[in-house]
Order: sequence, then C-alpha cells, then structure tokens
Amino acid sequence: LRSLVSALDNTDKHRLLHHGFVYPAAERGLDLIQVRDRKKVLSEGNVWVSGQPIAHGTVMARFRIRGLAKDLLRVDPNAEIKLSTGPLDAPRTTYEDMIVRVRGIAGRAGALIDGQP
Amino acid sequence: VSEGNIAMTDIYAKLAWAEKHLAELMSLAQEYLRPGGGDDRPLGIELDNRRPPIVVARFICERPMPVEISLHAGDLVHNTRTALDHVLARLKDHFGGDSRSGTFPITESDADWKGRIYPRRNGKRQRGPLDGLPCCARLLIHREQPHVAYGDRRRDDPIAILS
Repeated sequence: LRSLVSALDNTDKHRLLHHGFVYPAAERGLDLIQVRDRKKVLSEGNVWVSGQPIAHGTVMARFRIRGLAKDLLRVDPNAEIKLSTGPLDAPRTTYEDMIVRVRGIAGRAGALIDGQP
Repeated sequence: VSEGNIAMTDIYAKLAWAEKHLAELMSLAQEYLRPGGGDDRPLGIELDNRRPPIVVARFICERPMPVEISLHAGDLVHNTRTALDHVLARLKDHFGGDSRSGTFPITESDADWKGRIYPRRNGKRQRGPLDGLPCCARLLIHREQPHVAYGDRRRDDPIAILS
C-alpha cells in the first residue's frame, strides 16, 4: 500500500477533511490478477484502466475459465494499491517524499546557519 | 550538536509528528483495504466465480473509508507545511527579519518568484515574505523552489503540493 497526496488549492488546505480514495498502481485490472495455468483460461477481458476511480463493486476484469477460480486465479501478491487524498486529477506525490523533501530543506538551512559567523 | 541543528529542532519534531500521523494513516488504510481479513480478498479484490465459467474480479469495500484517514492526512499536511514555514522563521531568527511574519514561498517560475518576493502595488514596493534576510538565505530559498530544483518537472517536486 502506498499513500499519496494530491495538490491542494487554498480551499482544500483549510478544510479539515479531504476526499480520500483508493486505486491500484497497475495500468489495467487484468494486471492485478495472476493466472496459474493459461491453458485453462478460455478468454479474458479487461474492464478497469488506470485513471478511473474505483469504488465498492467496481469490476476490474473478467475471465472465462475451465475449472475453479481459486485453483487458477489469484490476486498478484506484488500488486500495489494506493490511497490518495485530494483531487483525482491533480499532481500527486507520496507523503513520505513530501516529508523527506522538507527535512532536506531544513538540513540545508541548518548548514547555512552553521556556515555563517 | 551544531547551532544549525539546534535551530532546526522544532522543525524536525514537527516532521517526526507528521510521520506519526502517516504511520497511523497507513495502519488504518491497511486494515481498510483488507476487508476479507487478508487472504480472502487481498487488496480488496474478490474473484467472483458464482456463475461458472465466468469469473469476475471485483473491488469490494463495503465500509466507507474511515474518517480518521482523512483527519490524519489533514494533520500530516498541516504539520509538514508548518515545518516549512518554521524553516523561514529560524533563518530570520539567525540572519535578520521578522520571524513572526512571512511564509516559506513555493513558486512556479522566476516571474512568480519576483512577484511574490518583491511585491509591488501601484508602483510601490510592498513588504515581502523574505524581507530582512541577506542574499545567502534568499539564495538558499530560491534554490529550493520547484522551478529551480526540478526545472521543467516542477510539478513533480514534492513541495509543490504544499504551495
């Protein structure tokens, strides 16, 4: 899980609550599902693509298979889901990167103070 | 411990507090995105095989996102932005200027920088956020601007979010 923050306008910054949402880091819904035996998949179709919001019930992909799904398909254990706050279409960064960046600025400001008489 | 480090103590404390909010936010998010208890629906994705031979991969999250996630996110952003403003205040404490006024500028271009650091109204120079700071401190802050530090990719700069 990665957590991100989107660019906030002045109104957003003064709001207590920001809209939060989750979305996969994958490009397509199909990329989230691993197939153990391709021969048993009769067909597959992608439904969700990156950029579309997801909510309860959102269909990511469909398969036609031979046999039981639990033996054949599984969610990719390396797949990543992101949680984001702020507008979906705004520039984003991770909270971690934002904190690291500000810590870096503080470090350089401290060094400047140390370097001055 | 150097003087510079001492000056930045409060800033590092603010950032550590922001990280605490982040850890709590992530903990809540991990729980929220494992509605099936982990293995049943990893990442909230259910493989619905009720109408064989069709299998539908569907995102399932019956509960609304916990409001605490948004509260932690808001506090985290606020702490980080405040830490940045404290950097400016500590520079003013050391080099000169009114540490009670001015916020750390985050600008998009040199024109934006000039307009905000050297504001004018009706042809007259107005008070700017870096007034009182010597060139070396202004230069440091200028170098940290997204359009300087990241060039054409200024929107990728993590502090651009805080502008």
